[in-house]
Amino acid sequence: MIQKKICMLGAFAVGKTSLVRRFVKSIFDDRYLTSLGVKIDKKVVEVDGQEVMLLLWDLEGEDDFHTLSTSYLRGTSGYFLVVDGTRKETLGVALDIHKRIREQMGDLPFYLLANKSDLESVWEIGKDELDSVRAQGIPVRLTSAKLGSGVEESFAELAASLIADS
Amino acid sequence: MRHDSLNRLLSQLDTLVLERVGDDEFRPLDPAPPFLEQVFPGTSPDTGWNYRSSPFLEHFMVDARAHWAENTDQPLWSEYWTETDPQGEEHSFQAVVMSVDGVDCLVIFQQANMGAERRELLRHARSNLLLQRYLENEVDKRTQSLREREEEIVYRLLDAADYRDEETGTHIRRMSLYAALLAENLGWSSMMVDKIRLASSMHDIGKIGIPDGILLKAGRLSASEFAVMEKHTLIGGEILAGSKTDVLRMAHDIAVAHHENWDGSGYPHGLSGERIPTAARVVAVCDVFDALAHDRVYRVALPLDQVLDIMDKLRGTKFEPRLFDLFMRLLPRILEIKEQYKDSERHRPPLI
Repeated sequence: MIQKKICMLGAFAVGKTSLVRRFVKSIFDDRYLTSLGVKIDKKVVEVDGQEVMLLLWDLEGEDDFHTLSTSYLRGTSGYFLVVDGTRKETLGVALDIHKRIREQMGDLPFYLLANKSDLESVWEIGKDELDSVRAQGIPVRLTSAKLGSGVEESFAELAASLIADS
Repeated sequence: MRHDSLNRLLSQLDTLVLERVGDDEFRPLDPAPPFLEQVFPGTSPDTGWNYRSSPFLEHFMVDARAHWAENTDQPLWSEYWTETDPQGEEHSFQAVVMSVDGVDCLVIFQQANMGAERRELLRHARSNLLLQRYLENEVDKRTQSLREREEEIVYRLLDAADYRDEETGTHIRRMSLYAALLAENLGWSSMMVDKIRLASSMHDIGKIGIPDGILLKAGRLSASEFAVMEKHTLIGGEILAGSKTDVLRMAHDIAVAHHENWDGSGYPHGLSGERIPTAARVVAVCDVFDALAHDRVYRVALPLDQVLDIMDKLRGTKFEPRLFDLFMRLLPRILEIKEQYKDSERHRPPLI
């Protein structure tokens, strides 16, 4: 079976682990349980009638206490940049990570997930900012790990891009 | 320490020590800890240790091999990572590779307690960061709301005062934006820029105390009338005096000193140079520009080249040269503001 490594990247508490849990186990927990280091989950998806094993590398979020070690990106086929729509600064963190990855690994399939769309009424990241991100050629998807909206579709889209890219 | 004691100690520490016996083969140096078979399926005392069941370790082995090849004394630590056993329970680990007396070793620690403590510590720290950020946001929102309320009160009072004056609300608006632009380009903090934006709008508040016959006179003022008119600076100063609010203290300085001249020839106190508060020096340049470039009851607006010619002649006498030069550098943006906030016709009481 084809295996593809996908990294979940972004600032802390943006919902990377929750997105993986929603996608892999269809569950959501409202409590904030910070990630420590790396956790890898697996899920088999079907792309164009072909089974693909996704290895989802959930990497500890970036903050003052932790900076992403890019060695863990080695061998990645694609990635998600996750931002929390209610915290403007997480967009900057995600774009900074994206820049570092491109410098080190070139162009890989990826999506920027604007998470917590269930809280869109209190988002600090406005439509204009997301439009400006899109204008830079960055594909943006709105997700809610809590409600599950946009999650399955985003993983499916990235999986399809990975197969098309290989 | 005896070998069996060491083995017992390592076993109790939930630590697996492996010796590298081939490029890809490892031999346990201590009795297998309980987590081994549970977390790394395919591993048994007979078949040896199967690290390939862990994508994380498989990845780390690439770095480990490079590290062993360097033959260094320094250990190489992995990140913490989490494995899930068949029962769905999560276990945290950390690995380290090193060479001891020419033997390549891999040590895996199960971070049962330490991992949980570290995670809890991080969770607290990050929750505090989120809380701190939330509180800062709330303070910002409240501050912004207070500032807007403060501005609204000031602008409404000014509007009432302006009702009997020739100066319109747009003059006040332009003035405050010119002043803020200059302050920003002087390197002032955003808080100070906000202050001068609001404080400068009150520069002529003292005109409220000048009789209509002088304030609204269409022709030139006589010397005695001008002496009365000059008093608007002191009246403004009295209105704004004694406040504990920074913005009103700055407004006071501006109201009193915006007609002082760099060479000491101005009024009301004949201050010169840096004895004139900087905010008042900034407003002086902006006020003269806006007054010359717009209609007044006693004359029509002058063409831009004439305005600039007059102002250039005042450089070093009325205006601080550095501020006038800055104003000229910012002229394109000044003209944008002028264009954006044009005077509009509005109802005024008939002149008496």
